[in-house]
Amino acid sequence: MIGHRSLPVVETEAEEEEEEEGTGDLDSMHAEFATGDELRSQNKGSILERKVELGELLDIKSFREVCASFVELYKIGIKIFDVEGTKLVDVRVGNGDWCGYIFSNNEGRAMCTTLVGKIKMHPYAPLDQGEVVEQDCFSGLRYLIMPIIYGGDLLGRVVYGPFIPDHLQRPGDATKSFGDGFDLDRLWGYGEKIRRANDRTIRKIIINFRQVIDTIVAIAFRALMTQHLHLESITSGYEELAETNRMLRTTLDRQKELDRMKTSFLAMISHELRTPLTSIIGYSEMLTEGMAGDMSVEQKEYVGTIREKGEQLLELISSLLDISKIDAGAFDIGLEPYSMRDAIAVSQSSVAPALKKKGLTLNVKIASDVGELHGDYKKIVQVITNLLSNALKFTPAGGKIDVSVRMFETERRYSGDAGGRFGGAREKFVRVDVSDTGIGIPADKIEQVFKAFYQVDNSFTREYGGVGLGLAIVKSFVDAHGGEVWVESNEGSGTTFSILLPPRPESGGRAGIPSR
Amino acid sequence: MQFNVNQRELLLKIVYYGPALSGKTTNLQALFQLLDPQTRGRLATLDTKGDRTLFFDLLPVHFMTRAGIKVNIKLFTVPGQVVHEQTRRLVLKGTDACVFVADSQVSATRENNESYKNMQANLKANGHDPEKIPSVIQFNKRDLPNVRTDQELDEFGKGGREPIFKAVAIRGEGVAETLEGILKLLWRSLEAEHSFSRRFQVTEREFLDGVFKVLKYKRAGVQPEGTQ
Repeated sequence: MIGHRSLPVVETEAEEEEEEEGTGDLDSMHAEFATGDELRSQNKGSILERKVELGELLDIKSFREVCASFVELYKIGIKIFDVEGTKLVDVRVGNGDWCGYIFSNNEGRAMCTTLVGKIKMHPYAPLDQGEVVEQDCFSGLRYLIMPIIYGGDLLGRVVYGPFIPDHLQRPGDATKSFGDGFDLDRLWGYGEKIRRANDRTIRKIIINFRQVIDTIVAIAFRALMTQHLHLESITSGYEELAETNRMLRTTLDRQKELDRMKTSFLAMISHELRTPLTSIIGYSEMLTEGMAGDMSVEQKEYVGTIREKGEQLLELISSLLDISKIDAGAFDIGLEPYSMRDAIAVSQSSVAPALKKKGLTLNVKIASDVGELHGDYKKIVQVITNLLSNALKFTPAGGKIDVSVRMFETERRYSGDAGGRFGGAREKFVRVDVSDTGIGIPADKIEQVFKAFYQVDNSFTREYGGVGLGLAIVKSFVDAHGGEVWVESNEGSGTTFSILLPPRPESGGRAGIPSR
Repeated sequence: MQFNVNQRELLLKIVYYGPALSGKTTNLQALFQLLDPQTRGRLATLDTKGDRTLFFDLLPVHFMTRAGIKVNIKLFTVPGQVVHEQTRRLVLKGTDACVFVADSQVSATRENNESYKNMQANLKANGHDPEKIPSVIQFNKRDLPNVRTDQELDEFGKGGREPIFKAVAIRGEGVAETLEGILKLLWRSLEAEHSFSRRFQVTEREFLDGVFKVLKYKRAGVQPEGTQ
């Protein structure tokens, strides 16, 4: 507390200057948070390319505290100026009456003003070399001026004083000629409050203070550089990213446009291909039925082959059209009541000739609790048909295909609430399993089978036909019903495709297609 | 190079580049140790306490020529970690010369290559010609096992334009030699481009002596000036 009691001796600048410097701090804070653009617009440029000002390095408010404690300890005032002569710190002690009395005299005021200007700005040569300069006041008091240097650059100066040099026995001669009844004894009396010291002592104090200020400046310099460089690198990084984003956006827009064009092209082509194909199939049919006259057995057989291949082609084109619609998100699911039994019967009849030709048996088991369902009947028929076609394609002659339909309660596995930390809610589904005794799917390919245009055997010489759309369509339609589809397979011994369909989907959905 | 006509001050910038942990900051620390203790006392320690360089380090060296020109050389390091790309580019801007600090360990070959390519790209991005800017390569960490052999380095030196220096920066070995090497190249390039000696009345000898007087380092085979 002793320190606090003796503090009033220290005369700091009037409050108004505090205010002024407070504003300065705000300005510098603004600069700290300014963006790179703002920094550039302030014409300051990169921190690496410009000279740093002393005011930027020192936290003036807290540095003033440091100075005040020094002043209190040594009873000698400290002023700090930057290279432009801007006063950053001014802590006075003891000389108020002395200087005030001189300042009240006209001649004194003029001389004082000149001296203060000199102390502030005069380019004393030794300062550049890091040396301390002595400057006597006309009134006999003395100042010592110390340069602040960092990295070879003069950043500012510290002015110590005034103090009364040891040898001084009376005020300086210049004061004798002051008019207006200037009282030298009165002035000398004020000198009691000013510290009397020799240069050596003051120089020791200065060395002490220099170590403090050099350390502060060096640390502050590094911090300032780091902070500005951080800001500058973030700004330039941001600008680069923004440019990259702009380019990516343009590319994405172009990709989207291309994708849309691809889909509409696919839809148009499928349509254009179907039209002549309908004629090919129609006329073949008419020929087979003898509408253009009788044909030999051989001719009938050939025309039959044309018709059969035409139908295969039509099927292929239809699924292309479907997939292009799905791809474009251009299909809706209707929700009407339907019977799974009917759907399976329709699918069964459409694959019956092929089944028979390959000598496969098909068993259908439908549990009695499977009643009326809601959904898009046509799409469900296509799902079942595609699953059956897939099974018969990959099952060798003499094999069998089992279809089982039952009600099934389970958690969702692949969609909706699936995969949560606590699992999903249990729901009731109708479950359809289509099992075959075919070649199976290798474990590492099982994830891929629902992707459009995917074939496990992708070689040009592959054994099984098709373009790899059937299962992609299955997945898309089941997803649109809010259902799930998965596959389990043992390579070599058979595959089971399973679908779950909610008996009453909440609303008709739309679904995209997982592309390759 | 920047020349401030009013203050007769010449500013030069040398950047220590290289992969993370190759010893760029260690180079500056070793140079810092060479500084006159009085000068050093007035600089904050560059010791980063074993931290990785977050942004960059800076060591200023300055001296006055006989003709009264203040030469101010700033030695910078860049942060080596890949993520500080922007900072590296900023620090490299306006550089007059580069010291590439490579890690001699065989296992660091890829990092050395990538950082070197990165330096060339960033030099280009800042409008420098990577083939023309004065540069040297320092192979640091010569004391470690599994490093490239001296023979390999000599072969490597023949394959490019940059002079090769070997160093153990942590012990201060080869650090001043590397600096001397880059300063020589820098002086010659300034001489060729700006007729340095005529314009600033400073010889290569005075230029190098100026730096190494500050650094209290006796160069091999060089007599102190005035004894000749």
